[in-house]
Amino acid sequence: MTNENELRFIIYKIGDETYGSPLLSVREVLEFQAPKFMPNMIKSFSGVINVRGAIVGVIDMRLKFGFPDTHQRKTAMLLCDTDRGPIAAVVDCIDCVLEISESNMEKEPPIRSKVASSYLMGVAKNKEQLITIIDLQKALTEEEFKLAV
Amino acid sequence: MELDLELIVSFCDEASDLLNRWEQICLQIKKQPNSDVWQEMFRIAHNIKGGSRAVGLLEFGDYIHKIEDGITLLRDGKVKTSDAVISSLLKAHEILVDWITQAKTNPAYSPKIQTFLNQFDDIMNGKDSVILEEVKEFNNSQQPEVIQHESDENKGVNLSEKANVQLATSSNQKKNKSRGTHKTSISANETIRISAQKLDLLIQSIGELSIHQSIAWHTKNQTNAEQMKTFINSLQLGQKITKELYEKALSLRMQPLNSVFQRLERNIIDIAQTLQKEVVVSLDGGDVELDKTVIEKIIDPLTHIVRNAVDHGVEMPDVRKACGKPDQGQITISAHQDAFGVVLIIKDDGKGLIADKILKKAIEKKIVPENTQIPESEILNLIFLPGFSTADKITDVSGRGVGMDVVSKALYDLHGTVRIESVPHQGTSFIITLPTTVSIIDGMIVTLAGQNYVIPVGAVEEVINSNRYSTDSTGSMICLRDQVVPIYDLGQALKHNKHIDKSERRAMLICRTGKERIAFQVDRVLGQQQIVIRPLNENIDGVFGLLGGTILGNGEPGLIIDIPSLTEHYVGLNKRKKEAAA
Repeated sequence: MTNENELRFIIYKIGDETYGSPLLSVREVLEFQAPKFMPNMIKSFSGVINVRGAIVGVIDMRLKFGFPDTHQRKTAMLLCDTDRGPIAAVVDCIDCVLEISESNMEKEPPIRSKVASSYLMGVAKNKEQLITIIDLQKALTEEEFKLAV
Repeated sequence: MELDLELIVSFCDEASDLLNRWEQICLQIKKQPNSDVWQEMFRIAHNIKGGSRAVGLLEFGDYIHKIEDGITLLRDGKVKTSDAVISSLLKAHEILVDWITQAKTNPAYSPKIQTFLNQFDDIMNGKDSVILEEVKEFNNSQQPEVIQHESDENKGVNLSEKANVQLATSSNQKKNKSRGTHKTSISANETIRISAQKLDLLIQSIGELSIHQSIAWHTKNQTNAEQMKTFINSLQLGQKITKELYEKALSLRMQPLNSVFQRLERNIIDIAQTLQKEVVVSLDGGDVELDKTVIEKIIDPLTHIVRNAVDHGVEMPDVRKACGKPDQGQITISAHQDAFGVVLIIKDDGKGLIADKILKKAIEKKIVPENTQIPESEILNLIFLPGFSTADKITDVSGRGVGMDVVSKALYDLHGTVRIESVPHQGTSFIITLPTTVSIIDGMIVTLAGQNYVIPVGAVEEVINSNRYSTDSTGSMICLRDQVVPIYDLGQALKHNKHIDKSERRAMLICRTGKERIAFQVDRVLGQQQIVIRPLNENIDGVFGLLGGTILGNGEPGLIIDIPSLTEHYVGLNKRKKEAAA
């Protein structure tokens, strides 16, 4: 059991930075599968995949957060259920699940980050390592994936 | 009293079944007066009343109680059946249907019905001859524009009476509008009534499947030949049952066409009354089943066709007499199943379509260029093109800016087709084909830049081998049977940024919109198969150039290309280019 002031987060890496998101905002972790191209979508939308018979869109978090696009990387996908349906987010690797107490989390960090403040939840400290906590749900729903034609 | 929304919704579903029967009875009596049916209608009203009070819709209960009183008079023979009586019962039905639709989301909904109730009482008390006219108009309030029109004409006549009706009409208009939006949006909690037999068959299949699954599980690690055989056998049977299961599950969505037919009949009768035409409707094949989604989407196009049939097809009684036809027009709506799906035929014995007139109009409206030679059979189909309206004057019943192009578009969206056959002075038939379900289509699998896509077979006119035809030096045009057709690369159309080798001669899909053809070049055509369409979630739905998605045989997602939109897009582009050049 987790106590009230301690929440569980899934910790993952994008580029050389470590991120975390509330564990329950992620439905499942998927092995990476190459997405199929879909036309007329924004740049960070890398295509669609088959998740047990459902067609699910994929967002490349590397592109979304403005990291260089490197192709040779071992990646995993975080599948999230959003109001607009499921969506998979590609991250570089998944680290662990951590319990972080509220006291270890800075809600309004005075730092500049690649993450837009609208879905930045805070910055947590874990063994001298800084973890950017983001609201994955919000990050994945704040923008429209379709390009206007 | 506490209102339980769940109870109310289930009451409303039940009531709408009963109300369907109510409408049926009204239409039946109209054709063939029969006093026995009043007993049934009384029972329906009584059931609905009981149900509504049980779930706490007290006002609704009071309303139907008053209607029930009227039906009692009819049942006991104290009031004679007349057109006014039937019209008012149909009106009562309309109010009830509207009410239960509203009550599902808003239990406190309470329409203004006092005017109607007063009229209803008057009619049931035998004053029908006096207010017959008024009720007729009232009944027509489901076509608000008709009323508006009529009362404009009759300005000054009986002003106070008209004002009364007008008032009620305006409140009805509002209701009808909101009802319209309700019908188009399919709520997430939509329910379907399913025959227990279908469900039993489904459960039986699932049972069988689980047996084979457990056999496979228990024999999976065995090495002897006998056991291996059992294992493979159960896998194969499992596969067969899975296929069956899919079909059975789809059949759960199938609904008989009866309800659609009934609505069309009602519409025809209402319009005929407004236009003072006499029409007999005959229905055939109401037991043919279609997917619920298809049924919901064809109601509007079909309504449009029958409205046209009554308004433009069937002549006024005196004209008919002069032509040697019976006074009463005949409209037949029939349905039957064939190898490709369901065929619906709407046939009238009216004045028919005149090909010359249509061609003249099409040239006038610049839909086709002058001096074109079009075979007669194709001329009739010109009315499906946008911007075409045959009516010499715009009437209130049909010709409200919604042309037949909307009908053909709606049917196209359902992967159906529509065709016209017409003989002058003998009548017109609309022949509509529909797939039984929208979730399975015939698809062509093509490769574009190394990725497999699906193209609905119906969207492609033909597939050609480009080697056999001459192209221009840049490869941007092809000469196809004396017609110059522009070539576009489908991969580029879908913004595939991979380099495409143009020197390679590839397969081309010839697609058409109106009179314009376009050749789409693809890398390879892999074959044709039945495609189960998977709905796309909101994140990825509605992308330009795509219709939906599917899972291909190799487990990869395959996107279904919206060929008509792309064709239209490029034809429009060409036109603008030409105009700019000129």
